[in-house]
Amino acid sequence: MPHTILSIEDQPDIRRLIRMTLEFKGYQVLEAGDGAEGLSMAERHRPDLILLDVMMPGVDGLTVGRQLAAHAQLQRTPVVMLSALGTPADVQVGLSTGVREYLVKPFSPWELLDVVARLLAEAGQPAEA
Amino acid sequence: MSLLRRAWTTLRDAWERRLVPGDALLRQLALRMPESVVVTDAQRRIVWTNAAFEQLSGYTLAESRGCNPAELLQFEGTDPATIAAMRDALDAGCAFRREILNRDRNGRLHWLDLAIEPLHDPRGRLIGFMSLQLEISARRRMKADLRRNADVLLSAIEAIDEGFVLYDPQDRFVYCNERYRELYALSRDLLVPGTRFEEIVREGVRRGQYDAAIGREEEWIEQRLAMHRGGDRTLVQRLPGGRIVRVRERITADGYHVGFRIDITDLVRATEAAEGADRAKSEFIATISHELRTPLQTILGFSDLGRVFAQGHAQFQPMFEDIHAGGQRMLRLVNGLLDMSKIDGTLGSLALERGDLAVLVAGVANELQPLTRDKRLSIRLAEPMPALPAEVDAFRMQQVFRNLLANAIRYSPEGGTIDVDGADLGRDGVVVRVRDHGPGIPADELDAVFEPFRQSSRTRDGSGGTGLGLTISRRIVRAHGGRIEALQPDGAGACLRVTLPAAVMPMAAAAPHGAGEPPEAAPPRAIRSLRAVRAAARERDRERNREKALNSPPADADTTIECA
Repeated sequence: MPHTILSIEDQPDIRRLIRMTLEFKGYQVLEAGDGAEGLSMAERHRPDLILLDVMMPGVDGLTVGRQLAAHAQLQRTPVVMLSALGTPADVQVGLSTGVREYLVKPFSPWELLDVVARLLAEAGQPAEA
Repeated sequence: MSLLRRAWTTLRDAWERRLVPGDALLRQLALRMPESVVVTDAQRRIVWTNAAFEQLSGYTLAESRGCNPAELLQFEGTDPATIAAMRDALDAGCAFRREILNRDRNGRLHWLDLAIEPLHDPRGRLIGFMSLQLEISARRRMKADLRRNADVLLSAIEAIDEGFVLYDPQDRFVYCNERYRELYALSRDLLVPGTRFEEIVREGVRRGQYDAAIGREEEWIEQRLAMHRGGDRTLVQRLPGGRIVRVRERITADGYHVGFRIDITDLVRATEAAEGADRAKSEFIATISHELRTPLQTILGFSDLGRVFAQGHAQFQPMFEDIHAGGQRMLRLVNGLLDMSKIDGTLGSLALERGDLAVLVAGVANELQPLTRDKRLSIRLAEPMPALPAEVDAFRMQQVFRNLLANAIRYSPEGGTIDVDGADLGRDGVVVRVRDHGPGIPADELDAVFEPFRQSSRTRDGSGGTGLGLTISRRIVRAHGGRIEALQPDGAGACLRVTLPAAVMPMAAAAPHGAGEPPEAAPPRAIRSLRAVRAAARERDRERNREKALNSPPADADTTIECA
């Protein structure tokens, strides 16, 4: 079974980039276009890892991050925050929600794959290659 | 004057006791009295004068006897009101005292302090008048001069555009000009001579005269009074209506408090506007930069994937390469702009620590080593390189050296060398020079290359940087109190020189060169470079952490290098 990764991102082009990147390495990708949809999909599908955009209309990534961290069934799921906001304060605020990593856009596909593989390995299961 | 007064009384009594003018006592008195004395009968005809009068008026007693002193001495220049008042007083048999202008026999004018008293016989009948005249011309001249000087001074003080106020040594209000009253309009009626400074301030506070005092009245008053007592202070006050004044107070040698109020409203407004505009510009650039990073994610990400997916497709691969390179270049530009706006905002808060520029520059040279391979360049560090102690924000100063070395690498010809050397000039600071053997910078562009987006005309077509590297470098160096210059070295190439002020802080506990090592013994190159590598690695780790926090791209030379 390949690992399942949920990508919560409102911009379709970046969503597509993430999908292509992850599928290139054989991950199974689920997609949500906003925070609320992302939360419900996370509860329904229990992905192995979640990629979370910060600036989204409606429920933003910071809120989703906090809700995931407080969620009884999802709090152990590694979350990577993705954002074009990159001041030290932005990063700190992002990490304070309880997410594991914070990648500043633009990130390279390979960087994303590295982070995903590492977090999945740390989560206890061997990473897909 | 009391002696004079006594003499005068004696004289009058003597006369009233009908002592004849030839009396011995009178002669004595007349001799001694420096003031002019004239005695007339009831019809105001002169019956006796003393020697002083003869001298003052130019008339001997023989000449003046029987004359009316008014006719003798008054002239067209004598104030008619004074003449009339005197006539009225004497007609009524009253005493009279007034300053009066008389003319002597020789036409000279005299201001006199004139006192006339009626003389009565024992039965109380008016028998004449006695007048005493004191020459006061010199005194009046002096007073007039003083008044004229004071007038000139006061009109000068009124004419200046600054508020002026004076308190006496007991801290009582003496004087202020109209400008001062305008500025302190709410306290205008308090500015009355004799009012104490503290009263004026307290009542002013109660009326809301001082913006800064609102809400912390007592504390403010205490501070204001303390400052006033201290003298020789300067502060800025905001007044109602938006006026801003600079207050300067000085204590004169004789204890007077002199206060000046300089209206700096326009200056402050202009400064605030400029700062606001600067801030708005920085925020705008920061926002734009963030907005640009999102589309760059798509461009860089897909072209990156495309490069890999297109492997084996000879016509696609270069396209993705070009898109990716273009995106990278744009990212550098965006980062440069972001960095510049960040530097504008944070240069005031450099994290200065004592460090060794030689170690910093060697670390950066090491870090950039991979970039030299393609062109077979070599970076030569001076041997021996002296320790170059300075107080620096290591992260920022590395950024400067990275810019300088990246430029040198970019513009060096194949197989060329880049020379890095340094010097400790003692009190004149420390210097690092980076010299390449590329096309160099024309003499008339040596300063312009530090302007944003200005590249040397010789390198403009070169594989460009952002055009911000040297601008950023100059800002960083200047924020350290140093300077950076482009020089024309002997022979080809460009030379960039950074000069920082000499360090004054004590050397940090962990000396960069290691403890127990004789500082004068330059270590062999191999060991030295090993140490440099280690230092560079340490710096790089530290910097990676910071960069991560600072939202710069990872310490991948390709994305951090800026150049002019």
